[in-house]
Amino acid sequence: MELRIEELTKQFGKTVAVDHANLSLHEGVIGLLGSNGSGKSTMMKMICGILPSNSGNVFYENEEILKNYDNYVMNLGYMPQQLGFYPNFTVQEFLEYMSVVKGLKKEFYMKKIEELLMKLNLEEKRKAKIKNLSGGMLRRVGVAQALLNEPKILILDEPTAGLDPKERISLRNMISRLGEESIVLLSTHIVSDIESIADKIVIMKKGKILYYDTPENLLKMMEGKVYEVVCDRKTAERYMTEQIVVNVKKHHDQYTLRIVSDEVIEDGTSIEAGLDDLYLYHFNDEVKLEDF
Amino acid sequence: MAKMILFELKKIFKSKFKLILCAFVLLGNLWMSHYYNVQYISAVNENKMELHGVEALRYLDQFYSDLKGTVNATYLKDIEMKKTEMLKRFMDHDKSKEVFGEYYPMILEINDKENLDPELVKEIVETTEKTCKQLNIPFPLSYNDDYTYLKIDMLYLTDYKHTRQAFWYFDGPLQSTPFMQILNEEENQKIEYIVVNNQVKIKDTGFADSFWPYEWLEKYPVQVIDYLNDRYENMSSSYDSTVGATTLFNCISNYMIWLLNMLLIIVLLADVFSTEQRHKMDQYLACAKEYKKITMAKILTVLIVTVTIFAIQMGLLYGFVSWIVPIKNLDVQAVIPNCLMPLRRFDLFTFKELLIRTGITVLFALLSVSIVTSVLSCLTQNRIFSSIATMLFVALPMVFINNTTPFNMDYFPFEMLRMDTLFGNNIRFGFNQLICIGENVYYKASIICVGWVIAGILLYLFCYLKERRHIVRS
Repeated sequence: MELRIEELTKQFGKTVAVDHANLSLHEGVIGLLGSNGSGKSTMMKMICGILPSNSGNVFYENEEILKNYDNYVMNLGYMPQQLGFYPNFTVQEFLEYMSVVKGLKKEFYMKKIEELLMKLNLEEKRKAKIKNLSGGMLRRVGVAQALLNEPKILILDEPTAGLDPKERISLRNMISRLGEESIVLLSTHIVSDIESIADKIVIMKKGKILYYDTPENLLKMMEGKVYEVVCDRKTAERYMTEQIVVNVKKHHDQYTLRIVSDEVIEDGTSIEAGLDDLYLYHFNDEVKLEDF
Repeated sequence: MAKMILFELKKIFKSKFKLILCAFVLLGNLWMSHYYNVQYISAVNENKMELHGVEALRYLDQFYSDLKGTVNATYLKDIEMKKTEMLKRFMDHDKSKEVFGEYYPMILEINDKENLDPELVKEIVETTEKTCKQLNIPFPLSYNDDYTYLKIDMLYLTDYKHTRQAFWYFDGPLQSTPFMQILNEEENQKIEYIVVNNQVKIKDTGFADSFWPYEWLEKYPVQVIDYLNDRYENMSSSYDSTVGATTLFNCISNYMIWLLNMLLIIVLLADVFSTEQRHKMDQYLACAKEYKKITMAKILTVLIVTVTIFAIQMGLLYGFVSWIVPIKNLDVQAVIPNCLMPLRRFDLFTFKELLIRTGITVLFALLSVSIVTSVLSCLTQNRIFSSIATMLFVALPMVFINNTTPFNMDYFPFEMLRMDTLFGNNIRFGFNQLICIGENVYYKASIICVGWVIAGILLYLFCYLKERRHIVRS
């Protein structure tokens, strides 16, 4: 199974949201990392076929998706970043409606809804009106609707935003299982969400795909660039202005800093890199202090 | 498709506000029907007791049922006798003798007859006029210029209102024209014409005299005149109580009721195509397999909602009227008893025809509003804009009432609702117009309804094309 993206480009006025993107996706979980405005959601919409591209194409099993779109969407599950719902529908009604518009048969979708409500811990809320649900519950309903048709291609735009740690772990496990048989493309800001489950990671910056590789290979690129430094307050402040500081821990009067740097930090110890380090290494110029 | 329509209906009616509004409009209209069409009716029974509203309608229904029969020479003679008896019962004889003097018994006999002796009528009129001046009371007689007709205005009863009721009773079935002429099997009052240079020249306006003026008849082609004559010849000649049918017709032709329904439809449907974008559902639906069917489901939902509202409102009105008085005799000629609605007559129609034609025109007026609302909702993706724009569309003809309109307003739903312009004898220029296409004669109302069917198909085709894939705009 292959989902191929060739020279995909989208422009809004003078802004290039996605710039000649090329990807070849196979079964597994593919994490899409990028800062706000990097073009993740735009690319996902184009992959879903709901936003026309300026140039380039998306191919599923070597066939351009828009040529046989009805067949393509039967294999597609999409959860957008901005969740939409009919506020007066109950959870059950919403999922039934989505099943009907996805063209599923009643016998199939009634069982599937039961299964998803149970897996996503929404059983008790099936008769609750959507307008009365919390943000986390809404996300779970959004995920449930994407999974109704047992999709071979699952596009999840920031599915874990607003979920509590327990819900996040539960969803991560579910996505991991889905990735065994499907192509799961999920975007997130939360690096830890994909760290443990992503088979491959796409890093996007300003519409361009910077890297597309396994986490191990990406982390290899970071070898010798991550240091731990134990220092006093004055030195810590200097590092924070001069270097990319991923983490700061204070213990009595001593500060332990985790620094990402191309330069060798002489009083630091080289340590193993993580995806947070990778993310900050590439997006430090776009990340504001408030993000911490 | 049925399931999708069901969900579309849920999207509309899952709102408490909309449900309350529906109940308010539908039940409020019943109150309005009572207020405008029942409450004001009054009648006086045999015991000179004044009745109002529901009681009055029930009494009148019984009263007119007693006058039922086939209108022929025998029927007219019987009615004439009944009328004289009634007059004697209702009149204030002492006062009348004082006014009319020795002519009083004679007046009772000749009252409301034509072709009288002009000398006698002139003498009665002059004498009575003199007496009235002496007594300082209003002159109580009506007569024509050549003194061949005389009618008592019946002022001299103990209670003026009672007199008025008696007057109305006999003004109903025995109006001189055109009802009596049409129903009287022995009369032949067809429109007579000749054709000169392919132009119709009217020789005698016949039964149409009081509601189609000469100059208008001459504008019609031969087929239309023949059509009118044909209808005239085939009209029912039976007279019976049509109080229930008339009250139902009055309720249905109350344009205020339907105007409120129009506003309800606008509120219900203004969001029908924009709700997806408003609730950010368009992104889900754009990549759903049955996406194309959603547009069709929405279009069908719009039509179903409109027809259902119409049917419920008609059902409520029918139930309301039949609770008051039985709705019967729909196949007799639609002559409305004068005490229920003076000045309106629909001589060439039975009540069934009148109710069906009125109902269909109202339904199409409602459909036209729902089509415009939903298409604007699709076009603008904004419920506020689409509802305001449709309201303006509905209200536009109101601006031009009694003025010259810049273009033909007949196709506007508000004009379609104004039932007093339909088939009535007092309006000749609107829906009542007959149009000849080829050899066939059509009512303008029918042409307008067909026009809306075509417009609806074209507008919805546009919606269908617009709502294709790639709808995500955010």
